[in-house]
Amino acid sequence: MGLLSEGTPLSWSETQKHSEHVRQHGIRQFISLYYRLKDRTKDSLKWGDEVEYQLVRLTKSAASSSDQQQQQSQLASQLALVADQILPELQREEIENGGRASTLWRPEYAAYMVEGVPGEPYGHLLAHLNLVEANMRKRRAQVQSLLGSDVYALTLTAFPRLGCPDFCYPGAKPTPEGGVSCSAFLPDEVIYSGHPRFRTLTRNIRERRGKKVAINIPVYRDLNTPDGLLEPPTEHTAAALPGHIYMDAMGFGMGCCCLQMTFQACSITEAYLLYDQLTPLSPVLLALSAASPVHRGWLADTDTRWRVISGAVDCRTDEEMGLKPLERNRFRIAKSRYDSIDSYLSADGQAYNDIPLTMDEDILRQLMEAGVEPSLSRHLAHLFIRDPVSLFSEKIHQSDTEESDHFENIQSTNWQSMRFKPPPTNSTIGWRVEFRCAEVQLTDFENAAYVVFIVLLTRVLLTLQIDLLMPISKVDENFNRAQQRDAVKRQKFFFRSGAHLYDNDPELVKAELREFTLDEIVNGCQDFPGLVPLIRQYLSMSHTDVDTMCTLNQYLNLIQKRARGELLTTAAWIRKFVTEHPAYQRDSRCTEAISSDLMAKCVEITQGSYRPDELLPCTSSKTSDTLPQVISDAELYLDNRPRRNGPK
Amino acid sequence: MSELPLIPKCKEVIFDTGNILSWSRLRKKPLVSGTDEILDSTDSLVKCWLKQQAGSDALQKAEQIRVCCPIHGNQAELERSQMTPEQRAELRINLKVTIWPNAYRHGAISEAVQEALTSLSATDCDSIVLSIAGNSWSRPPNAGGLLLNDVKPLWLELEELHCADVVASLGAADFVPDLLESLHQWAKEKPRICQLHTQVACTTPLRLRNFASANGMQLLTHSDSPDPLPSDRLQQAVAKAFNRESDGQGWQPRWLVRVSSTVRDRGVVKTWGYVYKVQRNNIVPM
Repeated sequence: MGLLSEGTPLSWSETQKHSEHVRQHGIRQFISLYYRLKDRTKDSLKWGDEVEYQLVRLTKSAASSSDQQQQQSQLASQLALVADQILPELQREEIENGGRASTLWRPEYAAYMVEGVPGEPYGHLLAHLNLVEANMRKRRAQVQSLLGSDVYALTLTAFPRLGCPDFCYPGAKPTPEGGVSCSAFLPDEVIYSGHPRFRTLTRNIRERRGKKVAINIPVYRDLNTPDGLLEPPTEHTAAALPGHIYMDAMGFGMGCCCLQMTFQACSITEAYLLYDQLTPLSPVLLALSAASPVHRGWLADTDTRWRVISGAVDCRTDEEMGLKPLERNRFRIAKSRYDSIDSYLSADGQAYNDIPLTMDEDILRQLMEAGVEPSLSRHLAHLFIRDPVSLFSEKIHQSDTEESDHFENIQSTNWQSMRFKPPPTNSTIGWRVEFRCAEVQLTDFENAAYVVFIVLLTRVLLTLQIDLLMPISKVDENFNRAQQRDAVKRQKFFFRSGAHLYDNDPELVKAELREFTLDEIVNGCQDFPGLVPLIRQYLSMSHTDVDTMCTLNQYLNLIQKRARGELLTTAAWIRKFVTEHPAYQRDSRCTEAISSDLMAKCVEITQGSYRPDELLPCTSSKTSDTLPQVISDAELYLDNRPRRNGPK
Repeated sequence: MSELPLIPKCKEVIFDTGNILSWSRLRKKPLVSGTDEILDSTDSLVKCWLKQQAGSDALQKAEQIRVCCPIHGNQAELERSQMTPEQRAELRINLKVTIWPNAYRHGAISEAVQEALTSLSATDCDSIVLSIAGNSWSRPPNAGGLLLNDVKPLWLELEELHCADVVASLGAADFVPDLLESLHQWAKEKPRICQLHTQVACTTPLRLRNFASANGMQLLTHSDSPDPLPSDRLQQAVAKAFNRESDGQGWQPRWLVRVSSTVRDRGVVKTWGYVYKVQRNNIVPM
């Protein structure tokens, strides 16, 4: 999670006093950046992935009662709150080498989470795609080597019993009466304490809102699922809805793991284009990567984390949500700070911005007067309706031309499905786009496959100049559908039929918009070539080396089978495991026994000692740690050889 | 199709599809590749070209024609002016030259490469991969397949081009390991690229991998078929393109170049097209 500047966090009321200051200076900082960097071109393709891990402890449970559950399982699984113990060691190489290492590590929201990224971004050669999985394996091995013999680094989107009794180790009690989260289920110890940002965000979001967050996810109705409220009401669970899984803390959302990718574009215009064209693909990836059907011990009727996180950081007051008339707040705001994007950025994309955009008019005017393009001005004026929810005293007064913390403050706490990232001050990095909605899978093979799939799609979109844009309201509709239980098999998604060049007629687009199954979108049909066939066409033009091609074939094979339903999504597999477990009582509960067995299986899958063939194919890739020597040599040779009429 | 032929005296045609990627029509259809891609784009190319022709008189007399259509798609942007060094430095230009062995005459490869570079407004390229039509791994040398002596004259032409700095790296497609090794041993300018079909990517023989690795050779994949322009399909396609049976008769392919350029630092394919030459011996009787 971005922006870990050091310092002394202010209280909420003090932060609020500086709200306008942060916004105003943030915009000026952006304008300064924009002017210096808007004409930057010829940046090469560099990209990277971010993988988040949960640290899960598996132990033999203590022998005890004749409880039926204990008969079924001898294991106990808990989240190990040890991130602060291992991070210093994980970061040692980076610190000793002035920021350089083959893998880089960052803390995340929860004390049981760490995030790892490759030390250097990957480059533009197809052969770089063959390095991803090896680097992910290295990261996992690194974390694992620092953990005790009963703790495992799992790339698990949601720990099934987060917030249930005894879910963490060391044990801790929730403090609904006070503290940072005031949650009935999640103790404050769950929040990473090595840096003040996460606790500050939690407390400030709650205080801004005036009450703790309220997340209600529809429960999966089975034969014996309780009617009405799932659990007996208490004074601390008043916001629980009948038939819903109720959660009441930021940790339920930000304590989920995900898989993210960032791409550098060659210019700001290409960045707009990638941002826009990847947007209709976000719900597709969300549905294909769905991996979190269980929350707080209950089977949900949804398969993804999306609504959980959206609710977990929703700082909107009742007025902003339209539940009360506007008095102290300025705007009605349609979405949480964490949700899908609200507007396209390219010039061609403007015609498809069909949802009302709440904007700070003063900020909009400043941006437009400064000559920032209208689409980008509107986007930023929309992001900047939010208050800062974390501020450090040392960072209040900044230079608008040399620093950008105020801009980053608001930018990094708008957690959207895509993020448009300007170049940082004083660096060689260009305009970038971040793709944020994929859920993380259990194995490095799968995570590499999903990452590579998206990277290839960006190359395909730029090469074949295919236009996927559709009204943004339809993208939002697709987002709703993507989260549903078994969306891959049971939902249809709006998509453009055919695959056209840019600047088509919006009226024509509306006529071409059809509903497709994920299989049709990924594998093709009468009306759409299919994402994987398009990728294969690009690959046939690109003469990739044999090992990379072998690896890519395996990855594409996985994606195709998941889209077709021949292989289960991780969510579907977890759901199946729970409902077919001998201890399952058809009551939608994922008990400690079921959860522990599930975690044990996840460990085996991660380590490669167990491979459920309904989830994973039986082949493996030819991933490698380094580029083959011949390929790097060939690039050098071509760069340096004498040319006719060439530059000297 | 009983009308008089449009190109009755024509014995040689060079087709230049230009950059297929900028043809919008191609993306409204389901994806095609290989032979279909070549012939499909030829059809569209000829129709565009015919519209540009002043009158049918010149065509009636022509013995050699060059069919290209600069205004097709966005090719107008090329404007037939030379690529600047800065533009050239941003690209990797890769050619794949397919020769039909029975029709090979010395100079064919140079001609093919020159035509290809002309269509890109470039003067040199980064790689040329040689492919011999009909050659494949299922026909090794001892089973009537390709021999080193068949390859030598072609390779010598490529070496001349390399000496003249027209091309940086040479390569060969679908040569069985024996042939590749003997080529490597004999050649002055050694092959740096060995292209194999995508289907064998996961099962590349160890001998080949070791040889390539020991000798600085990249093992790259392609998705092309051994004979990209079967004569019968070629003749049908030309007949359809000119809308006259007679105009399609007798054509045989001589050489085919697939022309591609990729933006170096971004992995984006910028141009993709075909230049190819066909010949026939018999003039169609009027």
